[in-house]
Amino acid sequence: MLDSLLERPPYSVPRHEKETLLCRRLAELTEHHRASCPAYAAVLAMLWSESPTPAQRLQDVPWLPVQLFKSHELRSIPDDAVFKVLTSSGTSGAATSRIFLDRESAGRQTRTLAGTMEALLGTQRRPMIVLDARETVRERRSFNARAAGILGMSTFGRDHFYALDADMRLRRAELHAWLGAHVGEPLFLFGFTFMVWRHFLGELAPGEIDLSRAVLVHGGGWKQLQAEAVGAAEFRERLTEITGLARVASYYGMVEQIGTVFLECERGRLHAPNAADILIRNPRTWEIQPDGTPGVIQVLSSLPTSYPGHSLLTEDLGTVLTRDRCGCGWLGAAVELHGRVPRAELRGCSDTHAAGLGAAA
Amino acid sequence: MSTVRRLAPGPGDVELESLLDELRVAPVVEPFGDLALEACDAVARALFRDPAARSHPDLIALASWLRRPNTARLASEARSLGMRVPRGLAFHVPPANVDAITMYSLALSILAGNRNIVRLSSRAGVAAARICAALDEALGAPELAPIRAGTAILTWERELSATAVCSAACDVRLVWGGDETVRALRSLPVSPGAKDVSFIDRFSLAAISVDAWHATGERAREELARRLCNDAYWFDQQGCSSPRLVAWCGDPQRAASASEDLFARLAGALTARGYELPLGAVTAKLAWIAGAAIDRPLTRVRDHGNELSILTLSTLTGLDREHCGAGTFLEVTLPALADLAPHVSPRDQTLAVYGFPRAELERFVRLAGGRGVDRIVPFGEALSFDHRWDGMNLLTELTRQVTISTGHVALGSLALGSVALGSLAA
Repeated sequence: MLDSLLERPPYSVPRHEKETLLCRRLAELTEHHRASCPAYAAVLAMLWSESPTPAQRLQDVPWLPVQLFKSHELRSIPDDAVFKVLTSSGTSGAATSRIFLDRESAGRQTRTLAGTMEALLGTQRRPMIVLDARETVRERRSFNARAAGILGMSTFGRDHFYALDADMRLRRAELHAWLGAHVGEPLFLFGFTFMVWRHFLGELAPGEIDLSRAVLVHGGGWKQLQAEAVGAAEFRERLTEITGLARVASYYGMVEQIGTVFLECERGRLHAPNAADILIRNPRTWEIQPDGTPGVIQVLSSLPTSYPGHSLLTEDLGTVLTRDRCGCGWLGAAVELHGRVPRAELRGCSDTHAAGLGAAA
Repeated sequence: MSTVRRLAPGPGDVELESLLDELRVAPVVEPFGDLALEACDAVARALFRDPAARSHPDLIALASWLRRPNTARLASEARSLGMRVPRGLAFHVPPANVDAITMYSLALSILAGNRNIVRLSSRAGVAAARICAALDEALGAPELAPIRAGTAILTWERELSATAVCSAACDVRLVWGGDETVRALRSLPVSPGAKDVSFIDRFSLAAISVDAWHATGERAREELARRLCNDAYWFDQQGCSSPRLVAWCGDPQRAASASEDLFARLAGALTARGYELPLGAVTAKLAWIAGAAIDRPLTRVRDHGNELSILTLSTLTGLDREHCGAGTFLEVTLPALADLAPHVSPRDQTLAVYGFPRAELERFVRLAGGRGVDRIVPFGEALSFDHRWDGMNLLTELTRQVTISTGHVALGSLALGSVALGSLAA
């Protein structure tokens, strides 16, 4: 069943078929994790005892709040099966998620990501420029999200060139030499959005390099660029203007659902890949929002077997604009992101002492 | 020299060291004397006049507390405590998010005759601005010049140097910020003779007699739910005095129906009030509750929308006091109030109660044996400020006691005593 989703060409599974296959798979995963992860079983027993089992609709699949991976170790494999532990990047001081993968799930997520990336890169591995420093991925034992992203994407390229040095300076001479060796070839560029903007684009003169046969994939969000007030449109325009880049695509994904990324289509929408789907929930009733109405994003993935992350309520806000009917030709839910749920500043205090005031009747 | 911003009285940038010099020579004000009472009353009047303050129920409660009838009661209590003199210079570090505490802390210290520095957080809110404005206006009166000269509300960024200077200079330091702030301030010493008064993170709870609940009429139940709503939700259940656990004392089955009843009414009170949590608090709470399902001995979780969740515990054994606030009630059923006593921890501060005779409450306090619970209050008064807080009487903490002994010992026997001591020493 899973294979029928994974082996199809990217963005080719029609809605009804996908929902049927996914729902069955997710119900299986729920049972698998219930049996293998006592913590997950405890959550189901306490919070989901009234939900239909097995789920008949995607919206009936129990979800976990994604932050739970920050406070709790959740996994469905024994110690000796742990092959890799992924951590979310997180801001300094904030708790990070820990995601446990065994060999099988690590392999599956790589294959799935490859299937999705075909939509942008085709099946041939392209010469690849990583818009980061090699040093970022050197520390192989702690896979933070940035290193994991780079390493994950690197498998879709060849003859890798890291464009920045350890001090995040552009290796200009080496870049020119590398490009000289790959004239006329289709290229693949990958980097984090703010790195691309600050340390690559900001260093280049218009026309200095020609990337008209290249595809740039970038992720990590706009947060670090907010101070510079850079939006998606300007980002894309400047890139085209300076480098002639043919195709720029961001993506939406999280370490807690590694392997299933939502790629940005040429219309600027993020599409759920074959193996995943998205639901938008009303933040008061937690019912499903109709397409076109914004809400809290729930992501569903058919991949996670080593940890119970197949259905997660995120802290992101978004809207499903359409399903299977995006003008770009890709099938799957087409999503617009609206950023993070703002952190709540409650009137009292969690770390500060709140003493009494006369609210007495 | 470090420059800090003075918010009141007389806003503007000041040199901290020269300000400290000025405060040191400010006139001594008689503790609990007329001038001190007048200063508090003047701030109260200014708050009552301020239309912007009137929309803050906490400021209105503060203003009532600052009025003469109340401060006169405090003065007479203070006079009953022996001869009290000011400690000198008080340094207040109020909590970032509960603005009114700033003024309660300052007012008690003004009443005690101290000179005062208050370090207001840069995160302080609208209510703090109204307090500064009221203070500025009130202390502008010529007769209050001695108090004005001894009062400074300041703010500075997180830099430690100004905090260190004030800590070293003060005679008493009041830290309201909770564990983390207390820990941070402890690294900045006060002088050996100075006193540190610290308010740490606390946890609060409620206890209800199941029999009393069932014997209570419809309207009184409605009122109790409304009061619980005030107590728990005024600070989004994040205040140290906000009840976070409800202990039902009595028969388990009758307790279950009482619980359904109370929380349904509480949900109604929340709806009537139009209370809504910000989404970020809701998602954080959902994650906390899922974590509680993993870590805690729960038998049931239910909710009334985003704003109210009830987590039933099978036992209080091992209960840490971690809690996400935001309308999350732990509940447990015990045979009697006395059965709560073994579970009391030093974190526990306020116990809001309904339906217990005083003798039973006293027995509970004796059984708890001082491990925790500093206040027992009726529903609706959990958040009322009191000068007795966290087990301390602030009138005592902010003053020193002078004893005078005269006349009872005859001079002759005194001389003899000296001789006797002298011969012992030889």
